[in-house]
Amino acid sequence: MREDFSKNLFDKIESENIRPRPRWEFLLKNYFIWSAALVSLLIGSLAFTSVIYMIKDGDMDVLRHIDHGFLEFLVVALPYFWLISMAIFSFITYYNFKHTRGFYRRNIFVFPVVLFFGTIILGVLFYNVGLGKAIDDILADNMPFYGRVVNRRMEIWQDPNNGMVAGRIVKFVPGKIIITMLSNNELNVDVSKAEIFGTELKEGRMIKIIGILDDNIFQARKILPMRGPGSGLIRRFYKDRGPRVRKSIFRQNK
Amino acid sequence: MSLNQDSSDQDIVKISLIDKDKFIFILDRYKEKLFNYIRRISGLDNESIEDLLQDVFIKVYKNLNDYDNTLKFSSWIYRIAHNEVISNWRKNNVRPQAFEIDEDTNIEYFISEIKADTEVDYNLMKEKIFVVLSGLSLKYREVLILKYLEEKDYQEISDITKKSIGTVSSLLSRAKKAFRDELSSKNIKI
Repeated sequence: MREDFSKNLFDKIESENIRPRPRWEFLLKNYFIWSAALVSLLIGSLAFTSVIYMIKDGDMDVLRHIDHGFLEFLVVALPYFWLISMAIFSFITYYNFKHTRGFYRRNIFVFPVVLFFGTIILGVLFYNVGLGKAIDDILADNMPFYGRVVNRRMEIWQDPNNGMVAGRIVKFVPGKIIITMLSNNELNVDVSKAEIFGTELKEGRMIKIIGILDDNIFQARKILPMRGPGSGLIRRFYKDRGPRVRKSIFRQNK
Repeated sequence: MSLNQDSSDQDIVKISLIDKDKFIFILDRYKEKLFNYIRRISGLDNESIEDLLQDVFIKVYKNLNDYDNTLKFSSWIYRIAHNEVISNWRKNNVRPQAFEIDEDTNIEYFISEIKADTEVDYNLMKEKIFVVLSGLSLKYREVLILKYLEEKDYQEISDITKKSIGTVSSLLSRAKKAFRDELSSKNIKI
């Protein structure tokens, strides 16, 4: 090593006016990493809250009424948006945990366990105080592609050919109703042989129907109330509709 | 507080933050050690090592306020050197290459851990170890160097490489196996 190494180093420190960075910069960075980890843990928990809400308050009650296509329904009805969001934010939380000071000194299972149980405990807690419904209502009220991105199960109910429709009753006569679906199409429904669960047939009432399309008349077998995830979207649709038929939120059924 | 050769690293850090001239104590205490460490893991020529070492000490000085008292200062400064070697390697896209074992390197500990021979010619061993270590990947080479040539304990290696003690332990075990495999593949006997 050269004799003048130390001298050169000090000359460089002097000439470039190099100073130790203040302590608060390091503290701030450390707080920022912890805060980012906690915020992403909270968001991941909120995503889990929405998963619980979508599954528990969504169409789980419908599953027992479906005779065929149970698996297909389940595959489409799974809340992918929230499951993916939960996975992304869990990864961000773990990434931030990994960059906290002294991470490597802790047991490697500590953070995954904290992350797993933290998400579950907070998610259940948030669900119990009603945040699942609140998040769904806010997004359904304001998010343009809610029906296609967040809550794809809403589209399942716009397909008479597949035996599942939802909408508002616009006309009721004994044995028959006419509903307006979210696709803006009107549909004649024969309800004479339908079983009705938890709702009644009145004009203005919003319902879900399981049945078969036969010669342009939908033969209802089971009629269920419209509630749970997506109800905000339905409110928005009928509230905004006005005297003119507005552009459909969904694709038109062919 | 006055400083002397027996002052603790922590005291020197505290005083250096107030009086930069006192940073010379850190420099004098670690420049040779870090020079050797960088040479052993990087295989760079002396001039490049000095350039890298200068960057290391500049970084140490700039980050003195980030020094965490819960770990040894030597571990912290070795970690900065370790990071600089890795970042130099990535920047220049050059894998750390062969290195040399200097004459005053104590390899007896290394030999005894790898193979407990009673009669060995240590000078001859140095050359062979140099050949074998050069053939190992950086992660294996570094952990062997830290353990047997720098004589760091598991906690220190963990703090330097920012890996858990368990990971260091299994890495070291795999590194020793890789070393023996390399010996066999090169048909070297020690």
